[in-house]
Amino acid sequence: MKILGIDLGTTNSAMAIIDGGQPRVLENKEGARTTPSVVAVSKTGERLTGITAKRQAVVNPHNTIFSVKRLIGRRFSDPVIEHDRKLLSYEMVQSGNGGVEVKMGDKTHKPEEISAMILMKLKQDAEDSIGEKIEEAIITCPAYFDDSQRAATKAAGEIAGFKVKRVLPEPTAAALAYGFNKRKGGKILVYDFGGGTFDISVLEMGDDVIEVKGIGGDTHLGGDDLDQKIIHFIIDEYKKNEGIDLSKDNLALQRLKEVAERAKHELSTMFETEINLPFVTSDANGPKHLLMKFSRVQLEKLVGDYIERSIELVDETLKNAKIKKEEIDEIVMVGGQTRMPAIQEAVKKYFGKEPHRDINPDEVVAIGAAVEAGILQGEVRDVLLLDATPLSFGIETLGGVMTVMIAKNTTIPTARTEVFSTASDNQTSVEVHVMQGERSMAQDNKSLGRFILDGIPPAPRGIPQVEVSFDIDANGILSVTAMDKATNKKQSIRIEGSTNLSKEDIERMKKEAELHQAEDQKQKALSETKNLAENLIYQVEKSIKDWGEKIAPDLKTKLDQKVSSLKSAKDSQDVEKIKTETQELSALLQEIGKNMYSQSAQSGEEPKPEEPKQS
Amino acid sequence: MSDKDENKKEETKEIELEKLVEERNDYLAGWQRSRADFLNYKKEETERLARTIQFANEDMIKDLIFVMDSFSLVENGLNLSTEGKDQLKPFLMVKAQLENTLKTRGLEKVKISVGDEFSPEVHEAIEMIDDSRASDSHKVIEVIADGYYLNGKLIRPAKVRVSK
Repeated sequence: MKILGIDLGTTNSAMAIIDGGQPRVLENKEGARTTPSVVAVSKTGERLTGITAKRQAVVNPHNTIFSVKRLIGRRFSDPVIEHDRKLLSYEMVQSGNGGVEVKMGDKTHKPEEISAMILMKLKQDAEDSIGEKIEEAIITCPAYFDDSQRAATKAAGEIAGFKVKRVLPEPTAAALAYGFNKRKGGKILVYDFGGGTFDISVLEMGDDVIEVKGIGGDTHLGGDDLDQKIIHFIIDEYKKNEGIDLSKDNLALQRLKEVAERAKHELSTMFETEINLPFVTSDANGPKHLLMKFSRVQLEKLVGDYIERSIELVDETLKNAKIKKEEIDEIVMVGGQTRMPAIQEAVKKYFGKEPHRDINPDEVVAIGAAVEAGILQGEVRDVLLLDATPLSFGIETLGGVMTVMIAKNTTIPTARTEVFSTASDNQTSVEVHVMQGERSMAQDNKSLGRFILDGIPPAPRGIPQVEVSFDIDANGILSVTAMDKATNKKQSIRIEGSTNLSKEDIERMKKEAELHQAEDQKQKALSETKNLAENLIYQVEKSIKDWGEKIAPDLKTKLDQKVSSLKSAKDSQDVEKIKTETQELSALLQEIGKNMYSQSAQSGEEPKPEEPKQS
Repeated sequence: MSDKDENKKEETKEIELEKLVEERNDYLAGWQRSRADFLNYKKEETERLARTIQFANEDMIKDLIFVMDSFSLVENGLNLSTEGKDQLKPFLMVKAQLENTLKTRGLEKVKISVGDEFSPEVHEAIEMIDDSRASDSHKVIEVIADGYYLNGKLIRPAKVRVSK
């Protein structure tokens, strides 16, 4: 039975589960990874939740409930309610016990009932997505939520049909998503710049608990404010240049909102963008267009105050918590707005260290809730605890190269088979040298053992097929078998304890490999080039032997010369020289064929097209 | 050896056997489970990959829809003479090309016409206005931008003006 992790946000919500030990964000029915926290009742009495509710907001403003999280668990007399009532388009009334209720359609609802409607949609969509019932959930809430707000959040989950396992603070969830619960001690600052709210939390890692040490922020500062700034800037510029006020034109405003958001996103990766809206409006002289350049510098100047303000609030929060900024070990970025490079820079500058932002900032809280769910669920009782190979296993091949058979980090038990051949003519035995390590050259790795497979029937090099199999069982016992496919003759070796190296040894071997990576690569390249050269020399010598009489004497001399110069080049360490010599000899080798054909042509032995035979 | 000893030995053996059977069942179940997990994982991965491929271009196509919007605005916004319309023709051909290209990539327009009932499933209301022409409320009175499905998934609702 899975537990759903839910980030019940002010503007958007998201959900995630643990799947195969890893958290995974679930898409809603509409195929989106976040769901607007909006509920509405349409004119026909139909209840809408999520994106569909949002889409009809302008035609049904009084019955479209958004930002209900601002109201949950508060008293009607709360100054926050007093303030927000002016901003929200729907009607609020005082309930019998002094709480808040919102009017939607012809009914009034407690905020937790509205939140429950959002949670119900998430539950339904999650169940559809994974194809099984979900009865338990972990729901996140802001760190500043008091007992009554947390209780209301829990109640919302229960109304939606969940057994709420925990109401988890959002910053704690973010820290869990980054796995900071595994480290003991240390302080974390979570900088959460969302669409409509800005939250700061200072966390301290205890033994198995994450404690909230300080909170701060601004519940009415968010990415939407930044968008508004951009929109007003465009409007002002347009007014200055064209003398037209776009702020009165709803349609133009809608399009401006879209381009402002686009511009903001684009400027996260580019330094300049173009705001381009043909037919933005029209006047007596005909249609008007909007075309202006907008740069990252302009944007940062525009919203610089907000960013500065956010840093001041961070400073204030730390002061209130009596924690110096130097004491903060990790900074976690949450909320879509933190994608803005200027914000990342400002945070980095203030703390003097890089903030964490590898996990999608829109999803990190939901992921953290799922991680908490995973911890609560505990791992499924697993009789199979599978190990992985800490280092690679392989054999030594021509030129002293280590050929990897089983790469490091492969889950065991596992097996792999590959076919090798001989390096010289009439070779009747091969040595299988088993080794372990990450270096390119065999000599640098740890030798685990070796054995000889003999009795291979004499044949030219490259013809015999020797099948080498590596098999590591669940206990780390490595068996290596070599079999000649012509005779089915087998030889094998068993190496015990191949995977239980000490941690130090593994680390040392990995480090060495890293350290020597460049020279190892060079060595390997040299070895491979030499192998190619050797192969070619063999081929040329064989051709001379086989066709000796038919090759023109001067060509033969040339070949002999080239072979010996390649041989001497091969003994040098100069890869380029060997390569050039190899290419030249290869070109000359083709001359043999040409030479022979032209000789036969001269002697009139030209192949004739087949003629129909007459009897 | 007495009968008693014999019995005891028999008993121990039985207990041992029971334990082994239990263990065997555990192992077999674990093995089956892990085998099933793997096969299911493989199936899910295949599906996920197919979906990823299907929607990999979604972002880019959304950007191109924005360009198509502008094309439509130009087309509808220009009040041209017959001659002017002729001159515009090549540009409309380019627009058609773009439309067709996107169609082959799975893009499909949301069917909509003025007078349709407003439906938030596929429409997004931009504005609500009093319109004496509209006999009924909550009807689409103007399509401001087309909506689109990509391989059956709505990636942009049609943006509309709605009657009051």
